[in-house]
Amino acid sequence: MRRYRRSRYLFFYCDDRPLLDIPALLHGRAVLAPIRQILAISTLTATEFPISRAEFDVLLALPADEWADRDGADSDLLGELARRGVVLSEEDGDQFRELRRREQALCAGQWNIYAAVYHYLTKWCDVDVPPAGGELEYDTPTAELTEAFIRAAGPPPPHFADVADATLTVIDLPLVERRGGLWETLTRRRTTRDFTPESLTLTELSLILRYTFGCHGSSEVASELTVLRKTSPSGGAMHPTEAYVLARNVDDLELGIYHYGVERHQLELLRRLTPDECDTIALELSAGQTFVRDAAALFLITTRFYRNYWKYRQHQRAYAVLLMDAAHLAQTFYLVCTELEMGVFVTAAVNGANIEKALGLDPFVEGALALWGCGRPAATAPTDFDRYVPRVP
Amino acid sequence: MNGDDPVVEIRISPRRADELMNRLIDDDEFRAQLTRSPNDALSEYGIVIPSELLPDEVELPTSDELRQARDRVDTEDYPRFGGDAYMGKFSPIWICMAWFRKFIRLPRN
Repeated sequence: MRRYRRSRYLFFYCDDRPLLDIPALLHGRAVLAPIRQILAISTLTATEFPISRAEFDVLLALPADEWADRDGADSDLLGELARRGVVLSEEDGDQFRELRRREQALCAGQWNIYAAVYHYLTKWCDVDVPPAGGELEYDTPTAELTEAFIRAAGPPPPHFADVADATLTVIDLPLVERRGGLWETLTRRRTTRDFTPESLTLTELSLILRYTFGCHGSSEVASELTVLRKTSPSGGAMHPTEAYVLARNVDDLELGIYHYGVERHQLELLRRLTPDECDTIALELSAGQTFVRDAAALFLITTRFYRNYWKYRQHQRAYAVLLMDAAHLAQTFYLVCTELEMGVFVTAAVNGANIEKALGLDPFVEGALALWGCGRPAATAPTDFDRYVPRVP
Repeated sequence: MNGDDPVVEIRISPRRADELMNRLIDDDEFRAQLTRSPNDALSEYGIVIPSELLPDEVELPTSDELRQARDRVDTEDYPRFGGDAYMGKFSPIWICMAWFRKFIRLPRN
């Protein structure tokens, strides 16, 4: 007799995607036919796969909150489903033990079920975006492509949102301009993907880290709860976002991956890299976006889930707050780098699973969200998208 | 049609369905195997064909015909699952366009 229980983080989806009609295929005809399937979506293994009605019924009959004995045909079937992360098995073996550990980590980590399925099922692993292994075509005429895109997808929604109600009372606001300082930095902020081979100084990197991620004050609000003051807001003042630096071209800094230790404002070397390894890993983590190899420093952005979920336990909005925290930090990063006359980019098209592996993280405890980079901006010819006309309302 | 009619058993995930379609189009070795022994070739994709539905001699559509069928599936009408490396929403617009070539069918030089 074996004991099983259903994963609490299991979902089902009814799929209607058409597939080739197989008998017709074997007679030389490419005809599509609808197939309707139930897909089981396992958060523990981040996969979806079809199951039969019989399997569905067996799953429904299995509790998620206690172990249940099963034998015979049901046990064989559940053994297979256990290997796929849909049910948990008490069996020994690394695979079963690891799945039990993940389930425990999600439950103890106070994950909201919808947040968990979204996070783990949308994470990339080993994705290489450039088609057919080639590089993306940066030199493609953008106007032609843009027109073709609009023809295919239709026009985008209007660039200025309008409330279609003529009866509204409208108040013209005073147009006030400010110069210098923050005001000017805000208007100079932009994304850069072309960099010179010039290095960053260690002082510049230190400034970026201190004013983006650094701690500028702390307050002990209870015996075991200290909150930190940083330059960006964070939900519940929990500041769960972590930064790891992939230093490619920084003066007086060995090539490698470092963790930014906020408490002591230090870089902690996790792994030394050769220049070739730097390029390879940058490409791998950014899903093949070749321009990242030219940035002097890359920043791998992760979040410690339970730092937030400790407070916002299974909260429906907590995962959104983690993303917002990272987004606040991204804007601060842009402004700090702009002030330092550096080019900046932020990308969410990253192989999160590869980042976690490169950093040696347990993805059920700390997960990757984004990859940022900075360096000296190259003076390149402006594209159509750079030719902004100054606008004053 | 009644309960005794032979039917093809299909249990295939969206990702594996995409992979099967791509192999049918591009993989000559796979096409040859499918022609020789359909059940051997398709069983790894969760497809089992009853003997009654197997032709004496297998004939496959051309790669172009299959490509057209793929284009009818590979549209925005069906929800996307994991593993599809479409990155338009995150990218500078020209990368998005370059990636979107497969949908907009620009002539290549």
